[in-house]
Amino acid sequence: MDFQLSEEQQLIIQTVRRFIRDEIRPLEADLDPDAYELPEAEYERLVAMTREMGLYQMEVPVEFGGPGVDIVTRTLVAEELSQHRAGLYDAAYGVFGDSPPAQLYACTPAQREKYLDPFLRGERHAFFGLSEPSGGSDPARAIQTRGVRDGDDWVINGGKLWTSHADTSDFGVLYVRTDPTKGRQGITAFIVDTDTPGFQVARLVQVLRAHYTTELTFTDMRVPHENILGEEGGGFALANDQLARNRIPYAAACTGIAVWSNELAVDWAKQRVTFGEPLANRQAIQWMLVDNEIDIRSGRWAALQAADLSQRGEPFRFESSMAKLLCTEGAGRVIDRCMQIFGGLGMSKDLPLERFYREVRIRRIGEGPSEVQRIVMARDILNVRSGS
Amino acid sequence: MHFVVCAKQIPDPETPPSAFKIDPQKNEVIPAQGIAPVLSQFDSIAAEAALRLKEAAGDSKITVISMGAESAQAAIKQVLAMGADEGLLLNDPAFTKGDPHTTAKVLTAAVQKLGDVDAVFCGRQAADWDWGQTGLLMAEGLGWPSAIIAKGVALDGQQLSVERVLEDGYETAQAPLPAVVTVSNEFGEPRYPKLQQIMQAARKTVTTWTAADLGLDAAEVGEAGSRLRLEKLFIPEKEGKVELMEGDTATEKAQALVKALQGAKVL
Ligand SMILES: Cc1cc2nc3c(=O)[nH]c(=O)nc-3n(C[C@H](O)[C@H](O)[C@H](O)COP(=O)(O)OP(=O)(O)OC[C@H]3O[C@@H](n4cnc5c(N)ncnc54)[C@H](O)[C@@H]3O)c2cc1C
Repeated sequence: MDFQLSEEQQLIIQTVRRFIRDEIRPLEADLDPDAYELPEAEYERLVAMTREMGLYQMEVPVEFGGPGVDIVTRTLVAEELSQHRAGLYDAAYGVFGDSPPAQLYACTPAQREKYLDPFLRGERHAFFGLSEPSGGSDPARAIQTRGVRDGDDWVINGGKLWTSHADTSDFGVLYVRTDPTKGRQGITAFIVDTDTPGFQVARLVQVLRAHYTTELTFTDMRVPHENILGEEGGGFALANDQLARNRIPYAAACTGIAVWSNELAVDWAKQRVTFGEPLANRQAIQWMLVDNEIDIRSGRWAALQAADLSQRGEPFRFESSMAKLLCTEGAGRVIDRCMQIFGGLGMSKDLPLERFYREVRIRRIGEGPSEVQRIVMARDILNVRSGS
Repeated sequence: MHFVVCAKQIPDPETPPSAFKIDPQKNEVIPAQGIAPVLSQFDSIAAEAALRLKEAAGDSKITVISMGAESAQAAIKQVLAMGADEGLLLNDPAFTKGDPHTTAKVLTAAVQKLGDVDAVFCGRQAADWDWGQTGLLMAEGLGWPSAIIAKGVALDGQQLSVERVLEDGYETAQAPLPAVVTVSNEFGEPRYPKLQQIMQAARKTVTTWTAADLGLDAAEVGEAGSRLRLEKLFIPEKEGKVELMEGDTATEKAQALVKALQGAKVL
């Protein structure tokens, strides 16, 4: 067992940490407290830097032209990248490159040329459309969007909810029920261009973070058969491992904001004097700081263990669910305690805490709510497919 | 051309003041727990200067040297990741607790042992103790010219052209090679390492030389050879005091303020 980072990992972390401290945080100081984008010129300048550094689109596999940085290192990097005000949902404001929906890697050569490669070049943007108003925790049962074969096309009717970035995307991966008799095996993933007739962004849905999400409707939308990703009826078989893997850096990003919040709180507790003593001398505050550290470390090690297992090709679904749950819930508790330690200042937009507080709340729902993660873990323990 | 960059590992200057501790008995800084030491910022700028010269000169080599503990390998690797070619750690229990003079002695011996060095680049000072002497003392030891506090360095045939920061402006000095240059923050930002170079740096082995390898006697280096004695290390106490200016009108309060400031010898 080796808890030491490799030299390579240490150097990558140092580099990313410096980038966040020296390039991102100073720029962020001049932005609106809820900003999720950089001014265009700054964005372009920083993207040129991350490309030069070879850290642009870190996770893109070598066979797709990326650097293919391993999952353990990416987990460590995710914890660094989120350590600025917009960092949880817009790590480094996207200057390290966006990742495509993982399912897209299952594309055919023709689909790759038309969709994946332009995405990776940053020319086309994509959304991921799974959840519907009927529910996102158990999409295999909930999906009501219907596709009916008509010659070389499929005619799709229905709608999606919570589809992030759909209004600014050029295409997306859409989960559609193509055979109502087959349950889970009746769901197919399509690549859909957003300018297809019948595709409509019905409304922007405001949520507790500044960046809204969307609701979509599809009316007699014709999508060619060749736009099916993977197999017909194989939507849920796509990229399962990759999806479980993606949950790990997703979790680690929560640890990152917890780490920074806790650093701020420790420093504040030592400075702030009430009733004649620094806060740090009060057991009530000391225990909060200790509990923060426990939440941070248990999340961090859970995420790293999940990443390590996945890297070694061993089963890691239980561990990735556990990491997702520990990191998202732990970070929520840490930020809440830090706000308490800061008092009124903790509520202000002078500090990143209030934004973290709102955004980290979403993390207990997105990528599978905590309860669903527990279902996954329970199945593993009991060796049954309970509750699904 | 063969350039040497001297790199020192120091406590992270970003350490929050509340985590900075000293041992007043031993006159030592206690390393902050959980905060890894870093490469002195000025040294990474010195590395940047050497790298730009290497790029301009072509067919050149950079050796990065650090005198320090085993952990100073990390500082060396950082410069290797920026693009330096070879790393050299000068590590010996006898080297510890020295002064700028003994540090320069050890570094000088290493440069002499390397033999074919054309220029040495140091930071203008180490960002922990801020002595700003090591580079100059090395030049003295090597018998080479030195140009300190550089904001620009260029190769001009067999000479170095160095733009130096002065108190009230800049000057350009010429120095024949070999020479020692200390580099200031006005030089510009050090580059970010590239992923590929990071991977190469991680694979490189750093050579270690001890006092014996350098032909140095333990009595002339480190604490034993030190000519400087640290009398007292302490964290200054900061005291804040509030005094409210009395007065019925703004003019009276202002007058009281002027008096108070004069009394405190601020005005
Ligand atoms: C800001 C934001 C952005 C999003 N972006 C996207 C996107 O881009 N694409 C996309 O497809 N989706 C997206 N989502 C949707 C997200 O994935 C879903 O909200 C999530 O999967 C939960 O689905 P639901 O909201 O329909 O809740 P439901 O499925 O209705 O579940 C509600 C709650 O019930 C509980 N629950 C569910 N099942 C069980 C059970 N078996 N036992 C016990 N408790 C249970 C859980 O606590 C759950 O939170 C986004 C959501 C948000 C808030």
